[in-house]
Amino acid sequence: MSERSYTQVGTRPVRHDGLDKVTGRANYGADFSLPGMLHGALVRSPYAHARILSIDTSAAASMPGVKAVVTGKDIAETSAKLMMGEGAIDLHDVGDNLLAHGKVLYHGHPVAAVAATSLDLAREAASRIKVEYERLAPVESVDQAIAPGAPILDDKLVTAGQPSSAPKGPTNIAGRMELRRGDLDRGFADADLIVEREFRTAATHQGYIEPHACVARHGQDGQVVVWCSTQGPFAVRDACAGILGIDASRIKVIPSEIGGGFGGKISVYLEPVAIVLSRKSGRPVKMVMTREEVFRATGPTSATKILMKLGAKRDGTLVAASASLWYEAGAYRGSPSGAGAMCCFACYNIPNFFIEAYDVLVNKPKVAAYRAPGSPMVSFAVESLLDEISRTLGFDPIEIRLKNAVKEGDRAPYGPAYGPIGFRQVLEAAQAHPHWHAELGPNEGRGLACGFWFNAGMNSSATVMLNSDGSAGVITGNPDIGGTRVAQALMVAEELGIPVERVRPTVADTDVAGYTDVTGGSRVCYATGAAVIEAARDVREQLRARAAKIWNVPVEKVGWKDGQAVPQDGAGDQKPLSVVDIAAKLSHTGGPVIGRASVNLPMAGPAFGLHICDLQVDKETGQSKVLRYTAIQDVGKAVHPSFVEGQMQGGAAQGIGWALNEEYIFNRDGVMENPGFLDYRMPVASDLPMIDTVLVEVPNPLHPYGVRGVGEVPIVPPLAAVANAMRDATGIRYTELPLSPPRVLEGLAQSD
Amino acid sequence: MAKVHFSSALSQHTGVQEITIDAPRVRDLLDALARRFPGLETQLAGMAVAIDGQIYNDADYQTLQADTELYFVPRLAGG
Repeated sequence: MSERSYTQVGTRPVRHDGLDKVTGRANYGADFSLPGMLHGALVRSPYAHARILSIDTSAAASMPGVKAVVTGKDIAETSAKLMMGEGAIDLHDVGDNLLAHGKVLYHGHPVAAVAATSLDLAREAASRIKVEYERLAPVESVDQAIAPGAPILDDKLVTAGQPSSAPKGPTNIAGRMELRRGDLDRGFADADLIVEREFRTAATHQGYIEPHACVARHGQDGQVVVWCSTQGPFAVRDACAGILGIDASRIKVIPSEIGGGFGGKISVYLEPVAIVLSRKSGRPVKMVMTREEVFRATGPTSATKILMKLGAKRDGTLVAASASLWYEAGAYRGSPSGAGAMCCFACYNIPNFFIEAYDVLVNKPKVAAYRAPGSPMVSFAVESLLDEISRTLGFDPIEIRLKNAVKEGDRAPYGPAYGPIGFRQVLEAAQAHPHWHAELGPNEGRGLACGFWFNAGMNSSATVMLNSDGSAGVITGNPDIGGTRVAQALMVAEELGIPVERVRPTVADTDVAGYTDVTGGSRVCYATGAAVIEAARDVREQLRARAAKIWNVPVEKVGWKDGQAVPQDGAGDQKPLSVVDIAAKLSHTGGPVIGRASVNLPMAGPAFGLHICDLQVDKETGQSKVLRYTAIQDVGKAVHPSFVEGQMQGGAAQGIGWALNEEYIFNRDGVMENPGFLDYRMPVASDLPMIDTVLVEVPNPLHPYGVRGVGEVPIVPPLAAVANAMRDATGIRYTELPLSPPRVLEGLAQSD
Repeated sequence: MAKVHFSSALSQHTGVQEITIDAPRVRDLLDALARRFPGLETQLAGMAVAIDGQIYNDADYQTLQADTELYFVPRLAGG
């Protein structure tokens, strides 16, 4: 891609939604209310695994002020599927997760819901619903799930993707996939050094600050409106339509501002229930989760068990690798084990490998996507082993990675050759960074790790409207999580040659915006951005035509330069017309100008990141502190560098939390014991240093500016970067996360 | 002739790791594969297609060149 100069792209204007958000004026999911609105409350299972024998709602339904009570019977089981993101979403499972039908599959699984005139009353009524259960033994880990004689969550489950010769029968293994290349036995036979470990990572939650919230209104005419906090208003609309058997045209979803999602606000948890309660009561119904409900019943990411083996030659060349990946899916199929397999060795050229990945049901909440789903866990394993190899063979960690790093033309482990990628440039940037060469103090260690993610494409639409004063508006359907409004405004400003402050970006509802896939997959600036650019160019072409009309020349004789229509090819010595000039004459030249575009783009082309972590470890308490942290990443092209840096810093912070403290802790009955931010310890600002960032820009040829996608790669390297720093500081190779003080102390005690 | 590569899991259904097929578009190629390998269609349902390195979730009407290289990979989005 040729170098292009920009007037707006690459600058750092204040985001259009910034003031509202820092002053508390912005409206989030729970802020919305309607006259006559009821409040909904859910009845949740007290058991992790049980059969529902009966539900008696009579006492609740007879309470004054209770307007509707629903159970699984009110949401018919469906066989519908919804194509979205990671393939077909089984709406049967999503529906059963909303309100259980025959069995409860995790502690906190909803079994009934109430709508009443106040939240207190709804909760009181919910407590009076009598549910009779037959308790079943819970399955709490991969090891339990695959043990002979294990309790089976779903008698009808068939392992997807398994080899056709594999045994059939009741199982908790929902899926299996494998990838292989070369001759594994020969590869390991050729290796001078083989390292092999078993790694484990805990389930961690996306930890968005804003809980799930919605208001639903089901009109007597069958028209439905849903106000909610979501990463994908169209995904909510289509899921509600599929689960409830309502035509999509009868549902309008209005997204609120969103207080974080990270993949966890794509699925529906409340909206269809609120619609059914509203239909039954004839009044709008509001439902807001408590933090405890968010932890107990919305998607964490998978806990994993990973067995990995790497073989290297004495000169540092990797020659063989094998990995067995076991990912907890929670109560229904759909862990990101397949993505884990594809990411596993994606950073390195390894001629011989075998990867198998399993999707395993356990009695825990159904997992949801979480930033680069599946990738951080495998990166923890491979980058830890690579650290081990570089130490044993006496290599600099960057040098050994450079020796094996993939480049354009090399094959990804899942088959295709890479296009232009910037992994080597990222490694070289790390090599040159002062952090890598800084001195360490006592009880301090430094770790480095790399990470990979694909970056999605998918469907996006955009509309750009020109106003008569030369300002413009841009409408898309992606809730703004990471500064996408201002990025889209920058793109319009760049294409039209007007100041970014004169572009108003709007996140619209499903009746106004063209169909657009979710805000996720690092796709918004890439795919929706491409649609915005195309829509702005559509406006520009229309402006050329308007200029031709003003000058009374054929449109071919009107060029466009520096934000102005200019005469060309003998159009005379007309004075160039700016956007403002042309906009002022819109009514005289044909009426309003509206540009639009819709795209369905391939994946953006992968991004690679590298993080460097300095850790100080208190060997008496096991507590550790991140002293210095640097994140380096190939971002393609940074449209608004501040928000690109923010994505990298946020991902790093979440990954550090995953590495050091965050974990779901269950008791033997399968009950989460730490469902609050006091006991589920996420890093806060005072826990972390300023996270330094380095943006490497290797343009992605699939985007007009080279945008590659940013938001997910940054959570991939921290797990291993922190663990490698811990190894450097303590001499101990920890293979299980989190590295909380008790675990660190245990390792130190064992090493004494 | 497009060259189609099968993952080790898919090659358990096809018996081969790669095959060349003359097809103008991905949809035609999928139809040809279904005729040649009964049951494979079920395995490929919902998969993304990598065409010369570019991964499409919805590729049915993408055109194929004479030397196109094609892989089937799981659909991915992210978080």
